[in-house]
Amino acid sequence: MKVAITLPISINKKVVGTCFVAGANEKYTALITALHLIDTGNDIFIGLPPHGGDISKPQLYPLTNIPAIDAKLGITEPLLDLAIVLVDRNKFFAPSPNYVKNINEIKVGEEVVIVGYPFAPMGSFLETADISRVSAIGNRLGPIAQNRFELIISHQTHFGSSGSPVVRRIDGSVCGIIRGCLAPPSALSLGNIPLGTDSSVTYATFTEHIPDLLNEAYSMGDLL
Amino acid sequence: MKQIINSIKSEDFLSVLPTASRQMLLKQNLGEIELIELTKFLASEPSRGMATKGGSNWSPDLLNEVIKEIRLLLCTNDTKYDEFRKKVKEQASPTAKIVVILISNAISANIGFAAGILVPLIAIIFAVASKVTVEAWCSKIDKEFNSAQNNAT
Repeated sequence: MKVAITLPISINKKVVGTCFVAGANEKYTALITALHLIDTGNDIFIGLPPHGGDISKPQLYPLTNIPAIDAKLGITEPLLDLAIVLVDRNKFFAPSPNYVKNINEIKVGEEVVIVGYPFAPMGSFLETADISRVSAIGNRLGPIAQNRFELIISHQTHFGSSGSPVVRRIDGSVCGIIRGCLAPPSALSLGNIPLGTDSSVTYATFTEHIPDLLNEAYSMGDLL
Repeated sequence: MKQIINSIKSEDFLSVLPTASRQMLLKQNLGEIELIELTKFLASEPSRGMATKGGSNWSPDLLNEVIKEIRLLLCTNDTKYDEFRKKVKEQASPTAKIVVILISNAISANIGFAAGILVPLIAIIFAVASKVTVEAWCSKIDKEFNSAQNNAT
């Protein structure tokens, strides 16, 4: 079974969350993360912990520093809160996962695994996998009619979970990318750390557009 | 510069957008106001309505920053973008994609946001400008800009 190779990502010299290897062409390895992490999109680095982002391997911890590789922004999709970053394939390559492309292939109640680096912005490079279930399939409303499917998952996200892949347990296919969780209207925050938002209602963007986005990112790669 | 933007179809600018945004916009018969509202919507969407769980957040002021720079570029003779204007004129037959990418790269250098973040916003702004003509877009933006400046003083 293919696994989603999942890595920490830093922007402007701050570790901000999680990304995963999404695909590759002859020139680039592409990684997906959540667009809201990207900030100004400058100084993007992908962390390379000793276990290579493969959750099935034992991990050294705690680590204070890990090697990193520079990346650049390929494409952003604000409607889906997705960003694809590109690294030189000669410097870094890892296998990419399969994707669930049709929302009808996902069932409410189905088991999924959320893989990522919770608390990465606070210095933790420990990759974790949490088994959860799809509690609902959402179609997020916008200003005009458009299918924007989301998976609503019973899962406790943490500071650094954004951009984590949601993996269907039965076959290892990636079916979602973590965005955030239900925010109570009166949510407080300390700096940009949300407080009182520990709901287990987590939203993940569904993966139907990933293959198209990857091709678009490769074609933009040389121009940006 | 104005002639080049006016000569490219609004739909061609929208075709520069990534798949989901493009599908959303091309399906509709949109007027100017709706497109502007949709640009605002898209610019605010990544972190709308949820507690995001990462170490940085989407900038809510990004769209205003981009519009300010496009105003300088399209509606004024500000020398800041002279080099860019020259580059576009050198293109034999500039396509919507080339224009959007050149402008994204030029504005990126001035406002400090990566060009990849700017591409979708600039594509929609130019789709609006091309639809209503650059002259009409500039007139509208100039009014808003002047009104904001008067309020500030």
